[in-house]
Amino acid sequence: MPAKRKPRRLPKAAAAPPDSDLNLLDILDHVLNAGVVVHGSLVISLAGVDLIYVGLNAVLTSVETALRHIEPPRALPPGRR
Amino acid sequence: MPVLPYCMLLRTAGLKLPRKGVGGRPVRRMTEADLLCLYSEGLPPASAEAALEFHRVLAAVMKQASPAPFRFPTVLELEELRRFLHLNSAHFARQLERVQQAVQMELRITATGEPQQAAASGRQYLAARARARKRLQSGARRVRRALGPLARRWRERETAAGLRCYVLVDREQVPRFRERVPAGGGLSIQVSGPWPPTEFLEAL
Repeated sequence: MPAKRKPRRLPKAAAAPPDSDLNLLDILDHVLNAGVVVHGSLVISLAGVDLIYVGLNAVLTSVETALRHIEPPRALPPGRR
Repeated sequence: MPVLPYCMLLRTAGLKLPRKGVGGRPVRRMTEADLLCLYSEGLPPASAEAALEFHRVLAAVMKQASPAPFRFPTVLELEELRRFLHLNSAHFARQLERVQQAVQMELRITATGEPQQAAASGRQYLAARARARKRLQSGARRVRRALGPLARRWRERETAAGLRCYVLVDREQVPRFRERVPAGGGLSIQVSGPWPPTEFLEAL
C-alpha cells in the first residue's frame, strides 16, 4: 500500500530578522523617502544677526556644513552707509 | 527655535514613549486635539547615524501605536510645527484612526532563475519585459491569496528591480504574516517590516 502523501507546503519566503537587524539601506530608504513632508522655513542667526532665510523642502546638507561655505558679510569702509 | 519632528500619533493613555532621540536630545510632546506629536529641539546632523536614531524613535513608538512619521530631516520652527498641527490635526487623526494598531509590511518580489538573453530587437525586449511583469504580478496575486484577510489593505509599485508590495497588517498578526508568505515559482520574495503605515496615509 503506497504511503499517504503529506499535503505539500509552500516554502516560506525569506523573512526579515527582528527589528534590530533590519537592513540599513531599507531603514534609510524609509526615513528619507517616506513620511509627511512639510514645507518649512528657518532663519539662522549668528551673533544676533539674521543671516539666512532658508525655504526648506528637504535639508540636503547639515546647516553647519552650509554655514562653512557661506562668506561672512563684508564690513563697510568707515564713513559709508 | 528649530525643532525636528518625529511623528504624529493618536493620543492614547498609558503610552510609554522614548525619552531620548536624535543626538541624545530629549523627545518632547506637543498635543493638538486628538493628536500627539513627538519632536526634539535643535538641528539634527545630516548623517546616517542621525537617521538611524530617528528610526529608533519611530520603532519604539510602533511597538505600541501606529505613527504618521515626518520625513527625515524635516526641520521647522517650533511655532510652525504648532501651526501645522493646529491646521491639520483633524486630517491626520482621521488617517490614524483608519490604520490604528496596524503596521506596514513590505514584499520585494523579483524574478529568479531565468538567464537574461540579449534581445535581438526592441520588440523582443519589450515582449520580454512584459512577460517578466506578468510573472511578477502573478506572483503578487498568489501571495495576496495566501495571506487572505491578514492583508487588510494592499498596494503595489513597479520598481527597476521588480515589484514592491505594501501590506497593512494588524500588529499582532505580523508573525502569522511572515509564516504565510509563500515563496517559489521562480520568484524571490523578500519580506521586511514592520514599518510605519506611510503608504496608507493620505497626503494633505
